[in-house]
Amino acid sequence: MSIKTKRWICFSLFLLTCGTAFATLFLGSVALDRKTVLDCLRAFVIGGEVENRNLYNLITAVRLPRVCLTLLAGAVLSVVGILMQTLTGNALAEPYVLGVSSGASAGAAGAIVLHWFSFLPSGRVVFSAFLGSFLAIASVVALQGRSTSPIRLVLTGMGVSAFFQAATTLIIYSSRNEAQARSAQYWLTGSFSGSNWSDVALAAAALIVLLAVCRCVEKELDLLLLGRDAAAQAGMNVRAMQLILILFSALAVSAIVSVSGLVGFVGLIVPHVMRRVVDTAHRYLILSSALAGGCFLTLADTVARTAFSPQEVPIGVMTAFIGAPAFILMIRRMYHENRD
Amino acid sequence: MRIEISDLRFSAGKKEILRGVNASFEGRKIYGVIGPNGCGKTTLLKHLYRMYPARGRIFVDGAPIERYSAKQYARKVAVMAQIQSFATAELDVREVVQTGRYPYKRAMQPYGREDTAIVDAVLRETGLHDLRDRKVRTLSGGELQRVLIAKCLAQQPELILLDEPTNHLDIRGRLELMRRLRTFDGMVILTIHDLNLAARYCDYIYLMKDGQIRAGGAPREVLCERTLEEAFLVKLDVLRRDGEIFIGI
Repeated sequence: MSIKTKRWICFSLFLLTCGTAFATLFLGSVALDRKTVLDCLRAFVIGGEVENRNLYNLITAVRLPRVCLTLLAGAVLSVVGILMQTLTGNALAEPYVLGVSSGASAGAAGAIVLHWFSFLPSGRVVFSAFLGSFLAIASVVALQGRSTSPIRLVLTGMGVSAFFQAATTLIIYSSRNEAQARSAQYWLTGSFSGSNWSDVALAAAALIVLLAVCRCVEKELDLLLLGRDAAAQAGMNVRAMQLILILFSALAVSAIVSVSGLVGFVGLIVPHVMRRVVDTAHRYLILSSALAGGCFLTLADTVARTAFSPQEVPIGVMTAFIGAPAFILMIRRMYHENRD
Repeated sequence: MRIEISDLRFSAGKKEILRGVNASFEGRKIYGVIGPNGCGKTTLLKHLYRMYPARGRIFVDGAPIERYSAKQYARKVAVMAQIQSFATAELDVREVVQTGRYPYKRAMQPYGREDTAIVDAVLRETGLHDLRDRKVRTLSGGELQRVLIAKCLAQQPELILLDEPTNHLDIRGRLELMRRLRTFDGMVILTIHDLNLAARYCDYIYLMKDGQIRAGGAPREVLCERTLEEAFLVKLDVLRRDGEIFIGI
């Protein structure tokens, strides 16, 4: 496939994502007409008066940050999925599957319920989540060792994930405050309700840092596709590279988990499809996956908040409904390939 | 290019795999390392890949092998190994060959025009130019082998190391690979099971057994009935005709 085609696909994905984001602004408990939405957006961007202050608030303080956050979170989770797949040499790697998200949520719950790191002036939830996810991903990589077995990796991830989910549950049960316990419960399911602009800023920062790092180590990522040994033989410092990838993946995952809780499988499905549609080499894979991931999560979240209105389904449930069957299909196919 | 190995020892747990290997490699030659399974030839090669520590026992061009940085070493020595990763199969031929240019690039420096020119030249030379946009998974075993060789050539090394490269190839693939190695302008060290190929294409042969080098020399010196029987514990017929050696089973 030529570079021109890849660029066209990315551009089309960009348009599709923008269109989706715009369209989902209209959907929700209150139906809105086009004029209202456009007026409110214009007022939000360039200022001015709006007819209905309540609708303005609904759009700019509720729906818009939520749509922005799902776009960013989808992009970050997809790119982190790619990094973990390249890091472990395994297409099944993904923050949720490997227990990295669970590590982050355990850290976040600890900070909220048990007041870990209360000496920090700010950002202690993210910091605690980062430590949890770093611990999780570092242990998965260390336990996997030199093995390239996908089954071993997934089982290790399952163990790590089970451990950190148990830790999160324990933290929640140890809370003496019921409201706090209920809010912490949300780390186990994932939800974008109550998104605000500071969440969006955090997610945006995570995405920017992540994309910048990817751009810097693009060559190394491509080389890692040949396997760790081949990369080392070509003169790459594999250890240092692993550390960089682990560090920034953990950082990005913890930022997303601390604003949305556990959202699984995005980093599994999106890169898998984009590898087929666009490219295996990283530049266009990362770009297209970030766009498609944002689009996917925004759609999933829209379904989650509208399908059973006024009830809201946790977003993690939606992504798992699509992601888990895809995961099983991928394992199935892997086994077919291995048998031949 | 000159490599000196003196008294190299290596154990995995209690098992001694290399028990004092002494060997030297020099010049533009093909060196074949032969020996029965478990004799330590792959382990020896892995020391030259720097996968195992040499502990000051290996000198490359006069300097201890540890002295070279990863990229410096990769500019001298290319390894042809099977590549295996879930995504390798989805890469195209050009992308794989291009990774051979990695040791010449600084951090964050993208592959440039010069690299493209070298990759193109290598693709032409190895007859892969028409296959350059094909996915690796669509290639035959012989074609894949050519891609791996091309990747080594793009690395412009002084030495190519190969661990049993002929194992999965049919007879045409084997001959093609050995002929290509003959045209390489540098040193080649490979482990090999096929004694007839070793006899025909290697300039120098090391015979290993029980973690030691038992014989070293030109094929006509090493490949004789008594030495082979001692090493492999089977009786082999060695026929010599017009300076060529044939090993019959």
